[in-house]
Amino acid sequence: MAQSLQERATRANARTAGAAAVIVIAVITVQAILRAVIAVFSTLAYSTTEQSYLQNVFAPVAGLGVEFGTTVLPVAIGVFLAFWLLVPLTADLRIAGVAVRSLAAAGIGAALSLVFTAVYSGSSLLFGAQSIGYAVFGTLQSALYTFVGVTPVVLLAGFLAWLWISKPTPAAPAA
Amino acid sequence: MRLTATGANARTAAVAALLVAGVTIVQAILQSVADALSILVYAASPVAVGYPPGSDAVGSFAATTASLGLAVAPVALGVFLAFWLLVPLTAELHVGRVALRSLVASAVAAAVALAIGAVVAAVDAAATAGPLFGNAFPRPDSSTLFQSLSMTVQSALYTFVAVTPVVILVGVVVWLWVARVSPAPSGA
Repeated sequence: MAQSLQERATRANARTAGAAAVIVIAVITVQAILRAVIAVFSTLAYSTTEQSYLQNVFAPVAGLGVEFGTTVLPVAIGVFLAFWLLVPLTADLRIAGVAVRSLAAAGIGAALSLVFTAVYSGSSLLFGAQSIGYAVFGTLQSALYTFVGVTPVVLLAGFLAWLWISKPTPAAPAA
Repeated sequence: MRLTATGANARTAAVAALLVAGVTIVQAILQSVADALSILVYAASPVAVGYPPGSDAVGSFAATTASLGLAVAPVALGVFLAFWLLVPLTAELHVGRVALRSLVASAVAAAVALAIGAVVAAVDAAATAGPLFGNAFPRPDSSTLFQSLSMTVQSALYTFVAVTPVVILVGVVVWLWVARVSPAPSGA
């Protein structure tokens, strides 16, 4: 943290941060799609008897757009900004250092998701769809869920990006 | 199985299983905290009149305990068995291989969760009281069994989706640890 923001905002750090953000986007998008597919199939499994279920078969697929806008995108942006400007991943870091920095990046990603979700809830508030308390607590809850779900993914992306910029054989570290 | 069932591999696998269990338990606890927020969400919603908030908090923590039994333990067991017997993590592997082996371990873990869940579902269905002699005797209920089995499959799939990044993360970290403790003979 001794460096200034300008010193940390290098092109190399941006490249590493970009790689980590791409891994995060890929993993959580695949997770979201798989969850939607499972949800569609489970609805189909119950819809043989109840006609009303059939109307909701593709609701999880429709929900993917909202999930992308309020979770995937903000988390990826947050992870990129965090690894680029605040907690860059450098080759001289140790495993614990990488873990702590990735945890910080996950926190920033979840915080950004909170902001995006708040904007989304706020806009639906304008149309009178829900009460203010419901929107506030619901937003907090979804940001917490996002943080819990996304933290292992960001840690994984942090480690992979760090291995990528470290020496070609991380199996034999300098220290 | 060949030569994979060594003591060293068992130790590595146990560390990985403990890490996976640790991460998923912390996740379950945080999730139940988020679940408890539902009380406030519903209390603030216009439809909640006379909603009993306390029961929901108890319910979310009870659900956490159940999920520890039905998801975390089988997943940890599956990860341990996979990293011990099928796809051991050794220092000479490359990152890509480590990720692939972790993916296999995650699939094995989900399969173990599915198997244990299916047994629980079958026992549950068999224990459902039937109409015979005023519901005095347990009677296997096939429709209940089908429903709970399909829910078990569904939850095993969700478990796989949720747990895969955790297992890959743990696989990479444990592999880094193994490589540090006992480096590959030929620098690879």
